[in-house]
Order: sequence, then C-alpha cells, then structure tokens
Amino acid sequence: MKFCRKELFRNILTHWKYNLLIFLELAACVLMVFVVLYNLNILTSRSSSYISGISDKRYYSMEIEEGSTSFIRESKQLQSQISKIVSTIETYPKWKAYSYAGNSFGLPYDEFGEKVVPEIFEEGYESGKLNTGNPNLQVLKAYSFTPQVFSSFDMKISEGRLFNEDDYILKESEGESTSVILGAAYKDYFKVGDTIHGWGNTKDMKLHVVGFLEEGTLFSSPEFVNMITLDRYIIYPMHSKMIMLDHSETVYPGASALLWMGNIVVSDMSVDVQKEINAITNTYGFPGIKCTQWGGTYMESTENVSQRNIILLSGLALLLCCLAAVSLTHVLSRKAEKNMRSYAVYLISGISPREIIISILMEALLYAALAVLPAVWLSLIQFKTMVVPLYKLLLISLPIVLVSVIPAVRLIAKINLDQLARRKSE
Amino acid sequence: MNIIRLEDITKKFGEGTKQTAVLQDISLSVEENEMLAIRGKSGSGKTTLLNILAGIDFPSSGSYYFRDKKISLHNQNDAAKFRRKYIAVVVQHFALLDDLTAYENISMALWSEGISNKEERKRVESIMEELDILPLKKKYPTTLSGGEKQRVAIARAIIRNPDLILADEPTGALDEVTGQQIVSVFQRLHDNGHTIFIVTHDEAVANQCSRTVHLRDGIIAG
Repeated sequence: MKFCRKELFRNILTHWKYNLLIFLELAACVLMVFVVLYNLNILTSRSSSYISGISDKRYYSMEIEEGSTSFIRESKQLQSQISKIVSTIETYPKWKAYSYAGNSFGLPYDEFGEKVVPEIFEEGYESGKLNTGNPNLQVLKAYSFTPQVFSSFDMKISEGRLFNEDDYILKESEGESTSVILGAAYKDYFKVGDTIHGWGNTKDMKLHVVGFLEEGTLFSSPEFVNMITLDRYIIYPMHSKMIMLDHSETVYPGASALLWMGNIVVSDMSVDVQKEINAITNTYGFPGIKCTQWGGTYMESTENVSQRNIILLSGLALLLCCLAAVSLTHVLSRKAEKNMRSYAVYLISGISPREIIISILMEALLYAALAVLPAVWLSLIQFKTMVVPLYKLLLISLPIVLVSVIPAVRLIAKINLDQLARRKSE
Repeated sequence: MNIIRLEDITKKFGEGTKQTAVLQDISLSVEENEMLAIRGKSGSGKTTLLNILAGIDFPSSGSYYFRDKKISLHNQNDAAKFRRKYIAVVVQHFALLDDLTAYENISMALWSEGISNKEERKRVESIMEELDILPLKKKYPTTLSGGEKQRVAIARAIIRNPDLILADEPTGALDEVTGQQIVSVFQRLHDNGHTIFIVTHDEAVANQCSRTVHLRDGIIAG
C-alpha cells in the first residue's frame, strides 16, 4: 500500500496537466448526466402521476356564470344558501369537490441578515422575478387547500399528520398559530412541531408545522401548463369557519371559494357533471355554475415535450461520455507510456506489476470520485440537497474511468522490461 | 554450495525461420560469496544472460536453479517476487527516477515491504552512510555525478540485503577513476559476504573478480 500511496502522490504532482484534463473531461460528463438525471426524475414523477392520477379520472373546474356574482352579493337569500350548496357539492357521492387558493408567507432573514431557505422556495423564482418589496423578507410559495385536495391528488404525509377539523377553523384570538404542512424540501430547515414566525395575513403570523408531504407530491390546476411539485410549498388549511374574539362563529369567506374556483374530480366516467350540478343549483334556485373539463390533453403534450428534451439531452450526454472515454483512454495511455521507464525501474527494484496496476486503478478511482464534486457542489448550491444521489453520479464516472484505464493496464502487462532496463536515463 | 546453476539455457528471439539464438546451451554454476565477471563483446549475450538470472527475461529452454531449487518464472508478477526475495539488479545507466531525491530512489525498494517510515529511514541512512552518499540524500539525480548516481543505484539494490547482486556494465558510463571506485564498492560488498555477478567488457573490472567467464556469440568460450 505504501508504494500505491507514494506512486499516487508522485503521479498527481508530476503529471498535473494530464490530471487536470482528465478531471475536467470527467467532471463535464458527470455534470451533463446530472442534468439529465435531474430532469428525468421530474419527468418520471410527472408521468407516473399522470398515469395513476389523471388517466382514470376527469377533472372539472367550476365557475358561476357571468354576471351572477353581483346578483348573489345583492341577494341575502342566495348568500344564506351558499353554505348549503357548498356542503351539498362537497358531500355529493358521485365526485370529490375541492378548492384551493394561492397564498404566500413572508419569512424574515435570519439574525445574520441571510436568507433562511434558498431562493428556489420563493415566489417568482421560476420567472426570475423575486418579490423584493421588503428586502429583509423572503416571500415563500404557499397554497391553501380544502381537505378534499389531499384525497383528490392522493397526497400523502411522510412525517407528522394531515390537517384535522380544528385546523380548518380560524381563531381570531391573539397568539393563535396556523397549522401548516410543508413540502418535503423544507425538511432540511424545519421539523414537525416547529413554530415559524413571519408575515402572512397579520404582521406577526405564527405557523405551526404539523407535517411534511411526501417528496415529489404533485398538484395541478386548470391554470398550470403542467403539474407542479409541492416540495417547496407551504400548505395552509383553507378555513371553513372563523371563531371571533367574543367566541361567536361565522362562515369564513374562503368557504364559498368552491363556487367560484372549485374543482370536481370524477372517477365514474358515466357521470354527467354539468347535469348533476344543474340539478343541485336548481334545487336551491341558485344561478347556474359552469363546469369545464380540464387536464389530460395539455398535460400530455407537456409531458411529450419534456420527454423529447430528455431524449435529446440523454443523446448529448451519451455522446459526451463516449468522447470523454475515448479522450481519457488516449490521455491515460499516453501517461502510461510516459511512465513506462518509471514502471521498469519499479519492476527491477522488486515491485510487482500487480502493485503498479493497483496504483493506477487507485488513481483512476480518485479521478472518478473527484469528478462528481462539481455536480455535488452545483446540487448543494442550487437545491441545498442532493437532487441526484451520489452513488448515481459515481456510477457515471467510475465506468468511464475503468474502461479508459484498460489500455494503460494492458501496456503495463506487456511491458518490455529488458528494453526499458537498457534505456539510458531521460 | 552453488547459489546459481544453469543447465543448457538457450534464449531465442524472433519466430519461425527468423529465430535467432542469443544464448545457446549455457551451463554455468556460481558459488555462494563468489564475485564472478562475465566478459564478452557487444551482442555476445551478456546482458541477456543477466536478464534471465534476474527474471527480467525468460529462457526459451534449459533449467535455472537457485540454491538447487528449480526456478520456473511464468510472468512478471512471479519474477518481481523472486527479485524482491533474492536478487538485486544494478544497470549500466543507473535507472534512477529524476523526480525523486537520492533518498527516495533508494527507499523505493522498500515501498512494498510494509515497514514503518522510521525503520525505512534507519535502513536508508545506514546504507547511504556505508556508501558515503549520506550528504546527497536530498539531491536529485540530475545534480549528481555519474559515480554518485551509481552509488545511489547500488544502495537501492542492496538495501533489501539480497543474496545475489547482478550488475550490468556498472562502470560502462563512468570514467576510469570513478569506475575504479565503484568496483571497490563491489569488492567491499563481496568482502561483506555478498555474491556478485558482474557483466562487463572492461578487462580491468574483470581482473578484480574472483573468476571470469567469457561469452562469445551466445556460447561460453572459457
């Protein structure tokens, strides 16, 4: 082992130009494959959700017919019927009805003036326009969900619990905290039971973490061009009622959101959703609610485009890996040729070819390990976590290096010691 | 007792009708603690014979006995083990690595021995002192004279305390005075109990050995 260690150290120093070239080529390969694998992960989770979630269900969005909104506001009778209609639609046995609303949460910077979570958690990150209204506040992505959202999208909790009935009641008393479920990526920063102070509906809003969603939990709505992962979202309960300071109860305004921006999920393909909704609204003398089917078609086309990109990227990655393997073979063979006299001296001094080959393989393993570092760095800087497991990155660099080192090893196995021993010092 | 016994060693290069015999039916014995010189012109097969003894090259036919044990080397791994255990080789052009210091060039022979750094330092410094090259320990081969390089090469060869030292033209690249100093080193090693086998075309070197064998066109001529 001492020889292997000494030879490794000697080779790193004496052939630094070759080594730098090997490192750069391998690192470029690993980075390229890292990008492919990352995108493939997203694609796989999207398509599996599409198959399990969308193919056997139909999704409808609900919207009160044009012009009816002001009519409802003016009619006290209709307003009193809203909760009955919402309740009827929500509990209707032929479907699941849910509603959600976009939300946000202002998380103050830490005591050192640094952001607590990476920018990818912030609103506007994807469009490159972060909310900079308050320079000391991160405006985080959030949604408010009714309980049915979780079952409609088969959302599961990896830690903690789902919202309970009490969580859906907003209490006006001071010091109350709002229960939240966090996306999986928040696990690196918070844990179940934590209280997060920040800005929401009130200046000092307290969020109580009750659970974490499973990694890769997906959500979709009519306005999205594709499904989104909730890994970096905060999920609020969409409150159904409110308890005032004087302990009186009132229906929370958000409860009627179902009628304006609600969604219905139907598993039984024979159900005529519009007909059934019409029957409900007619019963209460309520204005018509228009149901529009969404999802499926454009989600499928988005998936195809992504798949095409992955295929193109994979082709490029494969080409780059082949180029790197060919180039590395050449570089490693050239290096072995240059080292041939040293190897001859070692052999004459009693060091066996096996030990020399082990030292070369050790060097190759070192290159393979070092080559994943730029991808690791990128992953940690960009996502604060390893979005592609380390072993997968090593599975890229290791075979390339091991294949490339074969000709160099064969050169050593066929070494002409006699000729090299007679050669004059260079 | 014979340390080496060769029986009908033949070495041929090339294949088929283009085969050339460099050594033909060489039979030779070397006694323990003998200092033997092999003389001959260029191309007479001296170095090939030494290479076969060292396991650097393998004979086409014949038998090689080391302390009456038949040596059958099939590959360089076996040969390296054999050399590590019994034999040291000193080549004409020193075979030093220019990016290693004199100390490292010597200690290299111990790198696969599995000894501690302390033990390694003790042994290297002791051998360097014995060959009067201790002050050169941090110097690189490019800054050393021919005689100093050859002493470093000899130190590397004998540091594992081998049973047999094979030297191929050890004075070939040196001037007369320095060559004489190197021969004195070999004589000192011989006096200390080492068996030495020197390949040379230099009569002065051969004259200082206890026995000389002449090689002509691959055959022992006397």
